[in-house]
Amino acid sequence: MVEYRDQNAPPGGPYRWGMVIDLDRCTGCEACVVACHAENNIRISGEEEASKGRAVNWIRIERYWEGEYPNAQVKFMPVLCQHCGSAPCEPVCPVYASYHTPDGLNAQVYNRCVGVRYCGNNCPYTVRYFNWFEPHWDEPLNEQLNPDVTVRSVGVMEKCTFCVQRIRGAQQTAQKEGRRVKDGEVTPACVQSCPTEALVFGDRNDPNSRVSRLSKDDRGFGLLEELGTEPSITYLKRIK
Amino acid sequence: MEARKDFFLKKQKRAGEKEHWNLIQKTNDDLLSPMFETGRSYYVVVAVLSLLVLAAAGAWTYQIKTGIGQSGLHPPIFWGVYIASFVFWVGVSHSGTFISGVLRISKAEWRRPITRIAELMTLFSIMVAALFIFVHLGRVWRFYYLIPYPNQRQIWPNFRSPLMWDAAAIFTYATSSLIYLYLPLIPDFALMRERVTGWRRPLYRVLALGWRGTQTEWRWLGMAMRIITILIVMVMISVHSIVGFDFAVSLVPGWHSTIIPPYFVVGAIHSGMATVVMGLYFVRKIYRLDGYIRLEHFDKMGKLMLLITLLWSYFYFVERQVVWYGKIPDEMTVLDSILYGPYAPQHWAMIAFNSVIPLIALSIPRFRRWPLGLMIVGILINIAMYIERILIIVPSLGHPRLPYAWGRYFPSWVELTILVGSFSFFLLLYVLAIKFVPMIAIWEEKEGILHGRYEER
Amino acid sequence: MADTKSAKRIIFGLFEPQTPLRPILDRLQEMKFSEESIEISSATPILAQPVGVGWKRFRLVHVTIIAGAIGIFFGVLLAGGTALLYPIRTGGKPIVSPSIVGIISYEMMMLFAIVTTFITAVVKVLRSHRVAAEYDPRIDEGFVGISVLSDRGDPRGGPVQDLFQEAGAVEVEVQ
Repeated sequence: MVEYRDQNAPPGGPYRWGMVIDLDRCTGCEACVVACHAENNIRISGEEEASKGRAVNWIRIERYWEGEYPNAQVKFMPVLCQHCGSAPCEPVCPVYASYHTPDGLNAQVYNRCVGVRYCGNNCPYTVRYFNWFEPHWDEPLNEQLNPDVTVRSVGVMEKCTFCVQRIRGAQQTAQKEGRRVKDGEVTPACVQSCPTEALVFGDRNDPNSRVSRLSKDDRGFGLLEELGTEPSITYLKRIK
Repeated sequence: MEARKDFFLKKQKRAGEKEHWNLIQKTNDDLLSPMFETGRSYYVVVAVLSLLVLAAAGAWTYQIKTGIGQSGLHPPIFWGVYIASFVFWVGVSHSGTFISGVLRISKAEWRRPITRIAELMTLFSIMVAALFIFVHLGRVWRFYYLIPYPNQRQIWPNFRSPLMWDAAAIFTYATSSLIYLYLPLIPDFALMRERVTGWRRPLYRVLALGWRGTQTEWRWLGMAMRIITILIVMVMISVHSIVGFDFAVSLVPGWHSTIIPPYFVVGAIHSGMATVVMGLYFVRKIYRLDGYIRLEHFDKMGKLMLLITLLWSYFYFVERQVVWYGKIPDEMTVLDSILYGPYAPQHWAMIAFNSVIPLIALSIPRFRRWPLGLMIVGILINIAMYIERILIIVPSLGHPRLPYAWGRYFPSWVELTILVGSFSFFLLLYVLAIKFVPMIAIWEEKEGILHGRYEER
Repeated sequence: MADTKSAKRIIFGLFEPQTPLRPILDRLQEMKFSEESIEISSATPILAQPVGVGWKRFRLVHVTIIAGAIGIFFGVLLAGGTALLYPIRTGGKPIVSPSIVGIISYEMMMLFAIVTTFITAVVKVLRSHRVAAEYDPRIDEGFVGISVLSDRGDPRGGPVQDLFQEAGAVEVEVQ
């Protein structure tokens, strides 16, 4: 009934940010996890909290085994916020802390969040993380916080943003120059650090971007896409 | 019209007969006596309950100070004891409205000694339930973000969220149950206004609204009661359905089920009735009101409980049966963990307490006339209903679709302290109310005398 | 509140419960006291059709229905209207959907209906007081009070008091 108007829409229609994760390339090295921690001011959970299952990893490497030792085969799957087109976490938020941006991001407004945690329950991927305590960083990590990223306080939900600070930076540059953001101009920290280039990021509305081309690969699938969540991330996996 | 006038005047004549007149005097004295006679044990009970409430308040303060991490929650289990308690207490609050509302609508004579006891429970348990919303919030100091009022922050609540439906329903229900408790109290306040001294007198003077017992007043009261009774039963059904929606509209395996809202309503009535029976037992026992809360009342409550037990068992069976036969893997992991897995002991205890034991016991006519027995069944049902809330929340959340994220949950000492404190708070409010309002509606009891209940006996 | 300086007065007779009220009421009617000026006080409702003020053409349920309708309107504005003013996209759900507006409107309908019914009843109770005498605690024990409202100079005052005495009133009082 009501269309959302985006005043800052770029020439040629809005962006739709998306990612492709090639599971056949992923080695499970966890470089993306480390990069994400450094980029996004992710708090240090500590041993005790981590053992309670409260470690925060906006991107995590899920390990699955096939077969028994010694013939076990380990499989890795990086899981991060899928930035669903029809996100289950969004409508359940009573204060609009979780909402959908016009460029297809599943945004989390920390200031608004009151911490009812319904979004965390309703996320089928369990990629939402909660700040159970006031965040802290051991010395000297507190000296290297990223000034572009908010430090989240106690009692709010947080999750992967697709490094929205980088996206917005590139968008503003492009807007000033009166053009669209070029393919490859924006790379989230995890994509940037992936040594095997298993992760690719870009605009799905641009048919010539790497993401658009790769996601048409016949190896592609969406994680739990049968739920109708319309995830923005396409996984690639060869079926043996 | 004239004939009707005479009929009702006959009722007044009956009041003049010596036997009835004496009964009326006795009713006044008997039902007011709990408010005036205070033993030492009363103060002990109040002190103990207050201490437990204070402990819970301390635990909550500690949680606010340090963070919600003081609970045992962690991904993927974001809801735990607090939400289970919220659902449980909303359930208990269905006692008053169901018992008193439905019995009033059906003009059941035997409701008279039960309504007030039940209505007080409704009000207090909905208060405790509302408290748990705040205990549960991660940033409780920002609770006003949930209230729809124009503000400078450009924040408005999202009515698409089931939690906002919840807030609307709970607010409506709490307001109306307060009104529903207060209306039939007005004549009793007038009665007490003339008989108490000290600080209570000016209070009752205000609360009695200058009641003079005129027929016009009775008529307005009666009209308002009849209308509000019907409405509040409709609100009651909607409140627990909406609490059920909180779960049913989500994607979580084990929650996403169409039967959850009606099943919640039945479960709520189940625990509400059980709580009313417990209240009846203790009020009768402690204040020796055997002449008012009689065995026939327990018998009739027992029959109603039997009906609700059957309904609950039916709903429960349907819910599990459908999931089990459908054999969808995500749903099955949840069901398996409940039926055979780590949650099996709690589950089978719940089945025994909630279904098997009440079904057998309440089917025996002699058991229904045994107040202590009914009270024990009430306790069992309440324990089982609490387990049921936990079993809905924890196993479902603990088994999300990606097995990597599976988790277990056990409440922390903070959660348990607050849980115990919530029970103490409910009891404390109830115990304090005994000194403030008559536990049995005096005028309704007197009206019962004039309706000739005593002759039928 | 019966003020001694006001132009009206209330003659109040307190009767034992067994006193037949019917003849007294008939006599009062013969004396041309209107139904609005006679009140009977009792510990429980005893008359289905009371002699009293102001309830005649007034149906409380109409208030309830009107308040409920206003509640629905308010609910629609709250859940639908504000969403239109504040259109934020969440999870592929429409900005305004009938089922959600329905739920909120239902609750608001109930809230408005119940609160308004309650307030109306309270106001009506408070306003009915100018006819009846002050409360007598003996009413709670089963006694019945009859109040008659008349002008201070009404010549029927004396006969009414006599009538009450004859009928066996425990107490007759003029306020």
